Amino acid sequence: MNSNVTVLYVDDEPINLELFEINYEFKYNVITAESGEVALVKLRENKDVAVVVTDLKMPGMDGLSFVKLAKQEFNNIPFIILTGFDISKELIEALNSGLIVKYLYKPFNVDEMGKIIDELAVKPA
Amino acid sequence: MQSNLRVKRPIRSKILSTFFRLLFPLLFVLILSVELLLVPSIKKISLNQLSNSTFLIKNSIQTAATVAIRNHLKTIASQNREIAKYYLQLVDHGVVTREEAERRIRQIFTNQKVGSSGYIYCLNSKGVAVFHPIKGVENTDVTTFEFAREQVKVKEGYLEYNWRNPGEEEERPKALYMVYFEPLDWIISASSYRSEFEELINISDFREMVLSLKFGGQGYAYVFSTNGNVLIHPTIENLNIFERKELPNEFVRQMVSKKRGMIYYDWQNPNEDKFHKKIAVFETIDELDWIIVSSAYQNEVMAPIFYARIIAYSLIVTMLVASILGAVLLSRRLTKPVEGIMKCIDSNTRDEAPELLPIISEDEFGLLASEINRYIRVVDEKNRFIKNERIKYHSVFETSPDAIFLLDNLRIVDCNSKTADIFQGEKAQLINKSIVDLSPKTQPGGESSEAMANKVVDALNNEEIVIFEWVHISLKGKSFDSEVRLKRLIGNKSKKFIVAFVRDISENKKNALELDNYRKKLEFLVSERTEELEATNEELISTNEELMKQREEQQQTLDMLRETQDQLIQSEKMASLGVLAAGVAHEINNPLNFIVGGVWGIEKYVKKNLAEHLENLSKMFDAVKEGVRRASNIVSSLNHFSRKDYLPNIECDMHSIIDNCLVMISSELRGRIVVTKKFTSNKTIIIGNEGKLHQVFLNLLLNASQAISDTGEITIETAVFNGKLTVSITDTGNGIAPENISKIFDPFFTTKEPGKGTGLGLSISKSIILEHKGELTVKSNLGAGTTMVVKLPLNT
Repeated sequence: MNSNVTVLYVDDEPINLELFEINYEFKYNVITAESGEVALVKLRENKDVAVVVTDLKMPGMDGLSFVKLAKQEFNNIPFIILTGFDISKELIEALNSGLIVKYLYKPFNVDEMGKIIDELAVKPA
Repeated sequence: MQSNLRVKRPIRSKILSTFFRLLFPLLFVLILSVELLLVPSIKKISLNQLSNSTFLIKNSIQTAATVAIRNHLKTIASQNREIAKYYLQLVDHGVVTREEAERRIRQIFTNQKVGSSGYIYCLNSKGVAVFHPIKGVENTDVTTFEFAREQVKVKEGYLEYNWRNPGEEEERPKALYMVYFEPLDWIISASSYRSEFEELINISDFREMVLSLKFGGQGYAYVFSTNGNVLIHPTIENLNIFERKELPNEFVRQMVSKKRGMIYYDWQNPNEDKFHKKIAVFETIDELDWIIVSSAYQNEVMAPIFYARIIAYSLIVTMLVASILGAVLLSRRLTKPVEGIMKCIDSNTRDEAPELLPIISEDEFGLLASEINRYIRVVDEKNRFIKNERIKYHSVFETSPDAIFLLDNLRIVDCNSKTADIFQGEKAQLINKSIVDLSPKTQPGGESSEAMANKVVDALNNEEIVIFEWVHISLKGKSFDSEVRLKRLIGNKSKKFIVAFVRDISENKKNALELDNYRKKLEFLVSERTEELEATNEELISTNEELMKQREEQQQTLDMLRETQDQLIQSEKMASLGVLAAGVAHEINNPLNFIVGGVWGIEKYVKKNLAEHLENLSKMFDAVKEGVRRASNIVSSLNHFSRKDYLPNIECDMHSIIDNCLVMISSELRGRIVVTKKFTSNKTIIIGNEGKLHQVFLNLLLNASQAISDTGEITIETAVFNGKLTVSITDTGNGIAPENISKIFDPFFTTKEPGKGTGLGLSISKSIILEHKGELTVKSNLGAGTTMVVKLPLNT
């Protein structure tokens, strides 16, 4: 880890979480959560989270619901949706309202994602 | 309305006055009878007692005196008879002669005196005075005197009579006692003047009797002689009242001079310091010169009168009070139910619900109350009926679409709410206003409103309804035309009232005016249109021909419709694919993500730790990456079918979209294909999704380019017709086999070599064009080339 940027990745697939950790192992301080509920707890535990990347379709709390809840407490953190689904009306509204800053498709390009995280982390939150 | 319950002349006063009117004469009579009958009679009784007592004393004394005189005279007469008898015995015995005896007898008789002036005389049975001391009388017949005849008749006994001697002025009372001496036939009479027998009466014999008499408590009787000697008296005896100067004696003198009667006087006993008012009845006994007095104290005598008066007057006062009380009580008993009735009636004049009188008695008032109750019920029923009628008529009055007002000549007495409405004010403002106030100075004819109104009202008779038009002015100053109907109200009392129905017809008038204008305009239009129609008729003939042409066109349209139907079936297919794709996408993309992430990790690991193997592994990495890319492409392409119309539609210039796409594929085209653009000069702006439209034309141009295996030509032609933009993309490529023409829009249909195409391009393009309400058609000749035609509605 050559950066002090902390990224929280939320996905219900453990493989995705593992790969994310592995691929950014030397780049970011990666925290993972397998659901929105856990993610909220982790956000409260780690005050230095700079960027949150979250899946959209998850059992229980879905990605947008999680973002909405998290935004109430952590208004300054940028949220990125990473999903296998096509763009939808709800996502466009979320983008327009500033709830999320970015929308990315799976499978994602690790380097591109890295660039986006870097940009968002540098920006004064 | 509240009634005044004060009675001007209450029954109480009437009863009282009646009572007084009856009572006063009664009382007057009562007082008169007390004063004129009762009091005098009591007085008389008292005085009677006094006079009776006086007479009693007088009689007693007189009787006593008579008895004494009689006995005295009898003794004298009897002694003289014995003398006469003695001398006649002497004659019998022969002692003396008869003549001598008679002479001696006469001598003895003559020398005798009875009292101080009485004497003896004798009559014979023939009434001749055989002996008499007065010589002139002897031997005379004295039967001329009444008492002498009486003597001859009775011969023996007591006799009282009055006698006047010759030479005397008046007769004096005399008394005689006679005895008869038969041998001589002499009636021997001892006669005397009665007044000369005073000494025969002992006053002390009467003392007890006189003093025992009491009159009214302290009254008493007394006796005194006319010379003032007090003979019998309870306090002053044995004195002469004229000699005692300390005692009142004036009344004594009066009694002496008056002899008998009644007298009032003041008396003061010795040793007493006050006078008593006294009343006395007195009598004089002439023979004795005694005056008998029965005296009483006036206050005592008058006491019964006083008590009688007290009783009588207190009776009168009691009667008065009782009468007044009785009158008041009676009047109260009479007026109380009346007051109740009045109160009830009074309350009924105010309250809504009628109050019935309580029937408290079975007398006339009870009857009156029940009669009033009956009346109240009848009145209440009538009132309710009247009220209902009033409400009914009032509602008719109020809901009338016409203004209705009641006029007293020209003055408004009453009006309904519609009146207030059309005159733009309150009802209260209108009441008492004159019609002239609600009209302009002059009516349209030029005549003044006042004069005209007066004329109309004066001319109004009892039967007809007068209808005319009138200009009114509302309270806010707005003038309006109205239709007025006037009718005089019939009935004596309402004769002077006029009812007016007023309808605002200014709107009607305006409408009529407009209608007239329309009519004129219409007439003009009709004549104009007639001309036009003639011209049109000619046109129609030519149009008919055109219609024939259109029929052919319709046939064509029908063909097109069939085609569209096919397209619809096509799009339905695609839509169902979209639903499938959406579900699948996520499930595929996640594994793809594992692969990408995994490969990326492996590649990084190899670069770092196993750099010498990188050369051998890079091809495998590329293969994995390519596989994932293709799979991912298909999945993302499938998403097009499920996308909803949520992306913003903006104005897109088709020419610039086409130009952009040409730029994007310029590397594919360069040196191999010639692109010819035949763009229309018209504006080619359509409303749509710029990105999707890019996708469509990129796909079409790529297909065209890929259809040309070596070199060739692509022609892009745009045209505007009937509000639609047509873009035709024609290539000189391989063309499409006729058997494939119908399949080219099916998803996953491709003729390209594997990896070059997904088979989704045209189906997606078709669905996008359909979304934009356009058409995508194809014409192709195998080996000669293909023309794709896009038709889109223009933004006009």
